[in-house]
Order: sequence, then C-alpha cells, then structure tokens
Amino acid sequence: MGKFYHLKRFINYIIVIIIVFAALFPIYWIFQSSFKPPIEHLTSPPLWFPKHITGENYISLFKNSDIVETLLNSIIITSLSVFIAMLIGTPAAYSIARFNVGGINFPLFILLVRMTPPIVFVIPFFLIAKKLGLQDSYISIILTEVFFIIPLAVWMMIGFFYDLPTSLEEAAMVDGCSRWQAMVKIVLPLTSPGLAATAILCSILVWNDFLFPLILTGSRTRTLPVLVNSFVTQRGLDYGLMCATGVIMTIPMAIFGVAVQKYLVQGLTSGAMKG
Amino acid sequence: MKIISNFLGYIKGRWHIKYALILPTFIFLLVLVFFPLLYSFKLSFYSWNLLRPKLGLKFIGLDNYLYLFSDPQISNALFLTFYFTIGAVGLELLFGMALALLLNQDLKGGRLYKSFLLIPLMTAPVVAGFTWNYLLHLEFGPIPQILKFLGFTSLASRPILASKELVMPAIILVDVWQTTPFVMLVILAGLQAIPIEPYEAAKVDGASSTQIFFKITLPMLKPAILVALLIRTIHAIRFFDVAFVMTGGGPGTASELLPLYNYSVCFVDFNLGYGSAISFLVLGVSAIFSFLYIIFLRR
Repeated sequence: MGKFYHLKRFINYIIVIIIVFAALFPIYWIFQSSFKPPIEHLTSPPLWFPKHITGENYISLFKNSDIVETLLNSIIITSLSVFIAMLIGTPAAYSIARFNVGGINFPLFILLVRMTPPIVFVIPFFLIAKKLGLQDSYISIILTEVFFIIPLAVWMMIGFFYDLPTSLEEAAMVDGCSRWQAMVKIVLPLTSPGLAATAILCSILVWNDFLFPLILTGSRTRTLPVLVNSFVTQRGLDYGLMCATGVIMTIPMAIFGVAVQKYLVQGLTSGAMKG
Repeated sequence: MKIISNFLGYIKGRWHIKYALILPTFIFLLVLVFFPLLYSFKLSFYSWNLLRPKLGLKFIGLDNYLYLFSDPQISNALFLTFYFTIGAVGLELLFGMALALLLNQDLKGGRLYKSFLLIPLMTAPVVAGFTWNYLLHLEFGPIPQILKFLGFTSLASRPILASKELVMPAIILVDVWQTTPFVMLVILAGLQAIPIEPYEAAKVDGASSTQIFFKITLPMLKPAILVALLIRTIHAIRFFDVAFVMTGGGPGTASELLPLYNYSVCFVDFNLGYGSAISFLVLGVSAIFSFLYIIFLRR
C-alpha cells in the first residue's frame, strides 16, 4: 500500500458518487416532475423539487382511457411475444447446444439477423402487413416483435444449455426417460434461472422498442413508446402527464435490468463475454 | 387413420428429435428474413410512390442506387452518421473504460453503484429523448441553469436543439448517457477475467502503475474493448429513436442521421423504391461491422 492509498480511495469514492448522481439526474428529474402540479412545470428558472407534491398526474394518467389502453397493449404485446419467442426459441437453442444442428452456420445466421438494422426489415414488413390487411393488428406487431427478440433468446439459451453438464440428462435417459422427458423434467428446471433472465431481457427489448410499433401499429394497437412520441409532437405539451408516463414505463424495466444484471453482458454481447 | 399413424411413425423413425426442436425457429426466421428481404430488394429497382398510386410500380433498374451517389441528403446523412458513430462510440469507450477501472477497485457498495448505473441503459430511448428535451429546455429545463451557474452564459442562452452546431453534440451526449453503462459492463467483465499472476510478477519486478496499465491491463482487455467497440458501432449506425423524438432530424437536416432520412423517404414521402435502396445502404454499412464481429467470435 502506497502513502496515498487512503486518499486515493477517498477520491475514487467521490468520483463514483458524482458519476452515479449525474447518471441518475435525468431520471430524478422526470420522477420529481411527475409529482409537480401543472403550474410548477412552467416556471423559469425551474424548481428542482416540487413545492406542492401532488399525485394528480398519476390520477389523470390512469383516468385517461387512451393511456390505459396503450399500457395494456404494451403489456399484452410484450408478454405474448416473449412467450412465443421463448416457446419456439428455447427448443432451437437446445437442439443447437446439444446436437450441433446447423453446425456453426445456423447460429451465425441468427446472429446476423440480430445485427441487421431494423429499418431494413420495417419497410417490407409494413408493405406485407398492408397487403395482407394486417395493419394495426396484434398479429403483425407480435410476430414482428418475436422476430426481433428470437435471435437474442436463442443465443442466450444456447449459452445456458452449454453450461449445463450433459451427464444429468444422460443419466435420466439411462434410467428410462425419453429425450422429451429428460428435457422437460431435468433440463428446463435446471436452466430456469437462465430462462427467466432471457425472458426478462427480451421483455425489456420489446417494451422499449419504438421503430417497429411506430410503423406497424395504429390507434388500436399502439404501444407506450409510440404514445410518448405522439405526446412530444403535440402542441401544448402536458409535462406532468408525460413524466408520469415515463416513470411508469421506466420503473419496471429498471427493476428487471437490475434483477438480471449478472446475465446482461452475456446476453448483450451474444455470448462473446461473460459477466 | 391407420395410414396417418403409420405416416407419423415413419416420420418419428426418420426424424430425429433434434430437427423437430429447431424446425419452428428455422421456418419462422426463414419466412421472416428471406421473403421480406427479397421483396424489398426487388422494390429497390423500382420507382414506387404510395402517395401517387396512379404512377404505379415502374422498373427503373439501377436508378435508385445511382441516385444514392448524387443525393445531397444522403451525403449529409452519411456524414452525420459517421460523426455520431465516431463521437458517441469514442466517448463511450473512454468513459466506460474509466468507470470500469474505478468500479474494479472493489469499492464498498460497488454492486449498488453498478445497479444504479444500469438504469439509463434500461430506460426506453423514447423516454430518454423526451427527458433530455425537457432537461435542455431553455426556460423550463435545469441544464441551462447549470450551464449559467458554471459560467457558460452564452451557451446557456441558446436553444441547444435548435442550433445547427449544437444539436449533434447534444444527441451524442444523450447516447453517451444512455449506453456508457453497457461499455462499462463489458469492460468490467473483461477486467474480472484477467488472471492475477501477471500483476504479481509485475509488482515483484517493480513496475509502475502506468507501466502495469499499458503493458498488462490494456493488452489483456483488447478482446473486451473490441466487443464493446463493434457492438456499439453496429448500434450507432442504426441509431434512430432518441434523435427522432428529440429533433426529428432538425433543425433543417442538421441531425438527420441515415436511418432518420431513410424513415422520412419511406414513411413521410412514401417513396418506397428509393427508400428500399437506402435501407440496403444502411445494411451494407452495418454489415461490415457485423462481419468483423462474427470473425472475432469465430477466432
């Protein structure tokens, strides 16, 4: 330990704390703003803390049938598309991890899909949905979101299946289980933390996704990001309502993100790095 | 019935379970990748404007692609995307690295700081966009006040998002705020994978901490830095949401990044033939980095 060890450590703490404050400041700003009455949004210089704390922004949010409907849309679209992606993606990941089906090329093809900019797909998806009369339908947006997250789901689950020793399934199969039974009774329960982490990360992606819903949904099926965008372009912006919506959108995802932080690196780098 | 059960038995005997497991994903991706891509590739050789249905679908060969070269908006958009990518990814690597090194010194509560820093990463880009619009608002936002307090009075009195020179730095700032935590996580993972032996050997040999950083830490971090760099670059090229919400490409075209221009050609002008051609340009630029990443993974 050097002479300045304690001083250096102290300075490190100060720097980290300042950075954490700076990083959280924008979130703090919409959080405190969501408890301000309308008049306090339009003061210059702005108030750093509400003078009168009020819940009226949240009350009007949940009274606004447009917002409530959109919130429900977001919940429906996120949960269904994550469910479908996990349902078809998990077996595929198992097949790739255990039997090496498709060699190296199929997983790499999946990765390439994940790396393709969404704008490339959104144009034909829009036209196909229009041709099939599926504009503003749950089917088109859910299928698109499944498509959007399935590469992530498959790649993450491949990693979890790789990490699971094969000896357990083999033992079960020696004892007379079929491959299906071994999968359902042994493999899935043992990878349940991985399944949960994958589903959560996929949910964050769908919940926050903007471009696909912007093009493919309409007034009936739009999701929260599309609604927030329409707030911004409106004249006579209601800051309180918008901040409350932002808070409602952010809190569940922040909790999700912290819950899966152990797996974030593995998920976001497609297995190149482990956290 | 017997025929059907025989047939199923035949399939069961022939088809190993491994194909059955992968089939749904395979078919799903095949249908949703190749059919749409072939469709928009075909469109990129046509002139087709949905707002002028009478003109219909007209084959024009390579004209859309040739127009890419003479369209001033394209060179503007390419330049801005280039500017954004270099600026944002460069700063994110710098700050992410610094943060990772700081958090790697097992400070008390390190996990808590890490969790807090993840929150911007989990925020929807749309929410990040309007939040920063609010923060930067000339009258009602706190940032002009902070700038004034720090003595940048001329900066504090300008509407930042309406200024041609300041709009791109502002958008870069928002992306740095949002995605530096990702770079930090990746580099932190890289740091934690470095074995302790080389450090011990260096200490025995009396190396200074600068020497240790440049001779051991940095070389050992190369894979992590490369992963962060490539993934961030791939995402910077497709960057859309935040800029769309914050500025919509403006003022004028001062922040009209390539995906934003692509969007406006397709979904504002409804010029779908040319729009498809632009999307293949976006794909081409992005694919360079995707292939580099795949080469890295296969190494």
